[in-house]
Amino acid sequence: MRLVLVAPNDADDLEAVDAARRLGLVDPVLVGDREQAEAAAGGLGLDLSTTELVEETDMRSAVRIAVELVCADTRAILMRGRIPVSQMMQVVLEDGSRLRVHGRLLTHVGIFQIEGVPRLILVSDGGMVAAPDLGQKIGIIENAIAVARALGNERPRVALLAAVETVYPTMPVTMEEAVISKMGERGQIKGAWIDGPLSLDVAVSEHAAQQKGVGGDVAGRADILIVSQIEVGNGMYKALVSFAGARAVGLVVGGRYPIVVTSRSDTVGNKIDAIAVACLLAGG
Amino acid sequence: MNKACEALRTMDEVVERAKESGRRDGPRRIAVAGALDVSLLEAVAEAGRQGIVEAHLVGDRDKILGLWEKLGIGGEEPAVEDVAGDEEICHTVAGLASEGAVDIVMKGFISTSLILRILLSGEYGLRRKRTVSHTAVLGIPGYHKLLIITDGGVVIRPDLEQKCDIIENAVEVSRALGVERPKVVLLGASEVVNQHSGELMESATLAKMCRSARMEGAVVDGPFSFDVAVSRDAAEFQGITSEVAGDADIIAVSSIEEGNIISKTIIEFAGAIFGGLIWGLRLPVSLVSRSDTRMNKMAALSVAAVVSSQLLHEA
Repeated sequence: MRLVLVAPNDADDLEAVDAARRLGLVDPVLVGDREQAEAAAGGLGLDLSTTELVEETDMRSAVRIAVELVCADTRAILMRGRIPVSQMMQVVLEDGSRLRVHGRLLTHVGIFQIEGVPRLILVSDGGMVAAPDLGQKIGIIENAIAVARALGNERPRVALLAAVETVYPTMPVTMEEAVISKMGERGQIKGAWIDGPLSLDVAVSEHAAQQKGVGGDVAGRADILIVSQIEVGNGMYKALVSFAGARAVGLVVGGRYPIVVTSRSDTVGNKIDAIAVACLLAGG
Repeated sequence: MNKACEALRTMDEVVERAKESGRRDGPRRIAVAGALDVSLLEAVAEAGRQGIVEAHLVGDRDKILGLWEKLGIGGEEPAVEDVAGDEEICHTVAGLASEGAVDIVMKGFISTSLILRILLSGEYGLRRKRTVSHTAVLGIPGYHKLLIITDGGVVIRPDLEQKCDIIENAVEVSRALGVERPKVVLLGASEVVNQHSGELMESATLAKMCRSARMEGAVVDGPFSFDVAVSRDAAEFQGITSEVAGDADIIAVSSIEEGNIISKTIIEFAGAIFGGLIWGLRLPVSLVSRSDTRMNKMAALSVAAVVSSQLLHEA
């Protein structure tokens, strides 16, 4: 699997990519500033002389080149190095970008392995779409379902998160989620059980669902948690990593190829996990 | 509200502090609206035995006493005001609060909006501030102090003015829990103020506004993302130098969903103990959810008792 790392001047990124290469997962190519990449690699005692590197010091151009390289392959992964997400995504989202698929939204999916939880938990969108409207929310859900399915979950359970599990006209989020639930029920969103509004505890804990008397196919058993503001997903991601010791992976999906967007709080291990998950999504 | 004591760092310390206050000033008198739940009654009974509260239960007397009996809680039979109907229960509780017959109101299994509407109605004179808000006090294993997240329970989508009030309320609660100069983080998804994001712009504005006299005794900064708020390493990595970064006492959010979902993430997955409190009225309103564990209910009672005894000393 081709892996294109753009802005390869972070030691952890290089270490993770090298580990993934040695595991036989990827065949990496780096795009960015050679001097900085070598400096970062040198600190690890890593020799880049046999690694393919395309020299480009202008970051926007580097992203464009990386996108072209990825799209030249049938199966490939793009990985963000040390470049702000917003700067990278501006280029990725440009009109005519070959990474985009017509009619599909690029969304962020966080994938978590949490101690004591016997399944992977997916959270979206905590990284790409700031305040999704109804249509975008459906795009977010469809992308997350596709990720869950690629990870072997045939029919994931999707919880639309809110502060409550009842619909209130004063809380617009709950109304929108009620609409999406109905759309799921009528088969307008396929391949999953969808329910909401649900509060977080009711979504993930069978005890809470039972105590609050919330039934259905999703309550207490959710695999995918959908939030309606980027701040919520972002806060959850960081709270899970900071306080729950979760193993976390962050990916941007919905394009022709998955994009690995690791977080600054990620360890080298997290980054290897992210590359491995991206390989699965890319059909590796 | 003045700093009450040494800063309380864990929920166990809050419970201990509530017991001490009970020994010193007598148990806090608490009106429980809608007491028909096993674990709520157990928590009230336990807090009663520890001398933290003295319960005035309001509701269907026969049913409540029947449940009390069935639980085998023993001890003295609790005082129950026999009232039927949720609305009537709330009016009775508000009346008790208004007369000064109780120090704390506890919301049992009754709609939050109903009880708040009645407590806030003019006839009872319990309104103290423009905005009444919810503070989630969290004791998190792995964090070096208590963390308050607000507002994930009452104000749905606060405007700038309401957000100031919400922060002020949380600062008062934090001070009652012994924090001399609470550090407030305005939460964002990023640290970079982006003119396309209303939320980040608002946080930046708020951070400036809060340097006014009104927020004296607190230090407010943001927008910061969650990891920068609670981890020095993350703050350092981002090159952020703020005395608030990595050391937050309070995290202020911009929607009820944000506060509620992030708090519950920490409770469900990081084993945090949680005590919820509604603040901004003349007396604390303790709030529990049906799915809260007994420990969380005990924590909610203790937080309210500590805040209430602080009020007593300032009176």
